[in-house]
Amino acid sequence: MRNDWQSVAITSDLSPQCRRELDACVWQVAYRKGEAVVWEADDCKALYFVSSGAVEIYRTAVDGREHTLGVIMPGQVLNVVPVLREEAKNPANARCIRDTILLILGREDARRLMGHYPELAIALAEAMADRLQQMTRKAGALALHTVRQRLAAFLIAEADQDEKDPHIFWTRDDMARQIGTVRDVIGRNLRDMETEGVLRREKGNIILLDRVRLQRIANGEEPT
Amino acid sequence: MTEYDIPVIDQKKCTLCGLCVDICPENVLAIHAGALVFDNPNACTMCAQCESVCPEQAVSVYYHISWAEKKE
Repeated sequence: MRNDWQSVAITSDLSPQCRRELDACVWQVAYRKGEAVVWEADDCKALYFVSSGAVEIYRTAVDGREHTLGVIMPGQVLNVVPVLREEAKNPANARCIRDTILLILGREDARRLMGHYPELAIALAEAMADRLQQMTRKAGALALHTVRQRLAAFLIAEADQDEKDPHIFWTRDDMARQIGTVRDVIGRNLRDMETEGVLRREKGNIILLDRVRLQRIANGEEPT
Repeated sequence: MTEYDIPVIDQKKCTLCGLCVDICPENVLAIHAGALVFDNPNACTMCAQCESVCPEQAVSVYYHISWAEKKE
C-alpha cells in the first residue's frame, strides 16, 4: 500500500478488498502546523483520516473569538457529517496544530465506497457516534460547569495526556478556546489555583500538585 | 532549551509599538533594526506580561502542563 494507514484505527477491521479500494482512492497530503484543512460553510469536498499530527476543529464567533470543538488525533477521522448529509457544507473550521499527514478521500468516493462496503459505513458511523458523545459531554460541561471546573478538568486531562505525549504546549488563548472562555479568565483562575496550592507555575510550566483536589474542583465539590 | 522556553513573537503581526519592551520587568525585549528581539532571553521569567499587553496578539507564551509526580 502506498499510503500510511497503520495508525488509522477505524480501517483496521475492513476487508482486504475494501482497504485496497480505499487505498486506491485516497491521496496523502502533508500539512504544516497552523495550515487550514477546511473552512466552515465551504462545500464539503472530502473526508480526512489523520495519519499523524493533530487537527483542531473550531468555530469563530462574530467578534472573532474562537472556540475549539475538538482535536482530532492520529487514527481518527474528520468531516464525516457533511459527507453523509445532503447539504454538504463543512460545519466548522479545521486547522493543523502540529505538522500533520492526512489521508484524503473525496466525498463522492466516500459515499460510493460506503454503499459498496457496509463495514466501512459502520466504521464511519462508529467514528461519528464517538464524536457525538464527545460533543454531548462538551455541551453539558459548557452549560452546567463553571469555568473553574472546566479548567480543572482540562488540566487533569492534559497532564494525563502529557505522560503519553510530552510535546504539547498551550498558550492561555489555546486553553480559553478549549474550555469556552477568554484568556484573562484563564490567567485569573490559574493564579487562584496557584494561591490555593493546587498547582505551581514555573517558567513556562504548569505543574499540577494535587490530583485529588483538582478532581474535586472539576466535579464541583469545592466552593468557588 | 525548547522553542517555547521564551515567548514566541509573530513578526508579521508585530507593529513595533514597544509596549512589551516597556512592560517587561526583566528588560528582556528590545527593538533592533526594525524587529522585536530578545536581547537577554535567559533573563525571561515567562511572566507573560508582554503577551497580556500586546494589542496585536503578536506575543504568545506557551505552557507545558504536567503532574509534579508521574504515575507509576
